[in-house]
Amino acid sequence: MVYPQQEGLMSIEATNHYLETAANILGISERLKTVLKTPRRIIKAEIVIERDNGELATFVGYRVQHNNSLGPMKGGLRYHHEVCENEVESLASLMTWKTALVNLPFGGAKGGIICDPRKLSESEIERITKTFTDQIRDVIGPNIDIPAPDMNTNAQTMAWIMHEYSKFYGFSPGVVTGKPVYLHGSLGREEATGLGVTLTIENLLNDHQRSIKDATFVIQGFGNVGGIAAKCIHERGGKVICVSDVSGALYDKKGIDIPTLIQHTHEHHSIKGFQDLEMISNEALLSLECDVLVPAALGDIFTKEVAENVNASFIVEGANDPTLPEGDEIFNKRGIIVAPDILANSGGVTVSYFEWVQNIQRLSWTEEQVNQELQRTITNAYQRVVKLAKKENCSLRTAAFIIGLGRVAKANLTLGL
Amino acid sequence: MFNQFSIFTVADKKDFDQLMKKFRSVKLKAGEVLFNQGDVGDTLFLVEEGSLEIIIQGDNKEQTVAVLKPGDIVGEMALVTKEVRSATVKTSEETRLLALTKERFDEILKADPKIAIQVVHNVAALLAKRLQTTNKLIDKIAQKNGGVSSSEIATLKKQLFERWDF
Repeated sequence: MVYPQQEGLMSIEATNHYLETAANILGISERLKTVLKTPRRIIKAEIVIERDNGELATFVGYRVQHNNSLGPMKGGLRYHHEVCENEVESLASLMTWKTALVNLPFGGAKGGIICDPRKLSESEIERITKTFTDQIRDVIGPNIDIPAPDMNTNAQTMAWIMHEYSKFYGFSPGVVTGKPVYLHGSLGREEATGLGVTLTIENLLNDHQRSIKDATFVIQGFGNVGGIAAKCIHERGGKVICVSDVSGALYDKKGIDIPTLIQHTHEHHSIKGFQDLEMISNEALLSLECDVLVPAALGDIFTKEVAENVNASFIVEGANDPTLPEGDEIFNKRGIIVAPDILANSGGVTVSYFEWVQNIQRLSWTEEQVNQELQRTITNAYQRVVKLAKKENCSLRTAAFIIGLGRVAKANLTLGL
Repeated sequence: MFNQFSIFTVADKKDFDQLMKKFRSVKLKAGEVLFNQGDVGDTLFLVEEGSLEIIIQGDNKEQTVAVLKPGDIVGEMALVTKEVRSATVKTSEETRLLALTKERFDEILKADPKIAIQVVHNVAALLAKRLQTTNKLIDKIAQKNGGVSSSEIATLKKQLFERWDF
């Protein structure tokens, strides 16, 4: 497998700033903003398990269910020693705006367990997962709240949750998404976020009479998002001149051979040492001259200074929250077009939706069908954002938040607060 | 200045003079911070001359909630408990203050409980008054946040559906 970069917990300040901007344009009052921001329910669970050495250990897990006015709540479940309630709460609300923007019949949720998976055995993680599932099983479900993989959780984790939940409610594959493909998962789910990023790039370049074929790309991150995006771009004839992981950034202005690099990372768990290519720092990567820059690893990287040195025409945000408001201002001033995170990385939740649909219909789609639907969904969302940005004369980011927040506000007001 | 500061109202002049010996004088220039919100405080201040602003720092903004004038007292909680300061206090002009630390006040408490009890009684009365004001404020905020009026909802709904076609 391609090893994901060690990612820090993302900052939520930036998202809140962009949300405020959108709320002001929509004319949503302070009081109603508070109502829309407040989660429906916050669950805190004490998870007591027996460690492998026979001792008892306690962990704390959260599930924040933010808003269900557009459908059952949807969002990841992360395992990390720095998980905290506030952050989970903000990420849950981010899911509400993201699913609304892409027009999925979902609300937003997020969960997390405070634990360090590196210090736990596989069977301990299994016991934590199943105990937590047992504690929240009456408030999750295919029609209530559907968890998905997030930091340090994966298809295996989802299989455990499905198994524990199904013990009580019968066969329920739709209680989680991101399951193994042979256990009611969906083809194309693993690659969905990276492919979604690529589709966003394609839309953006087409709009500017360009194409992936005649463009150069710099990608920060070579994990599940950056690695897959690099692969998809390469397949479409794009020239990826720089990619990075924790060990540094590989640079080749003639274009990197991505499939061979992926092979290399399978063997060495790092991009380092590939074809003796030049290694540059992650900072240098961000100021390389290219057409499209794709941050797909860390949050909070575009400060004012970094934004001023960016040498790309387009930025497509594969990672959550890479751009600080001060950096965003510089991009707008310099005319650099930014496809915001809630649009560009929505491929993952979109294919999660397809997985849920397949589970409910008890049938499975071909990979071609999944990718076709993904393309349709992302392109629709992209076009609506562009149209609104033109009409309101605002950035794509502001337009995306206006649509996300506006749809939820409409739904909430129609249903009754 | 006898009686100017209500919480130091004591029965006779001699006691008052005794009390005042425990204070030290503090001079600040305009714009100087006396203490910051969140600092641990152990000192009470009396304003003799000048003026200060009480500033509350919220998530993103700060707000001046009161202005202190000569005769006012700030930080009186410090005499009772060592707690963190609930606001930032900053001078708006050149200011002269009298400072009394909890340690010095405790000396009076030990040496002359008669004086100290009067002062503590006055502090309690002041705190009770402040609590009343705070409770009223909480009521007001609760009413404000408690609900969104139906006319507000109707206006927003109309505007959302008429102006936005997403």
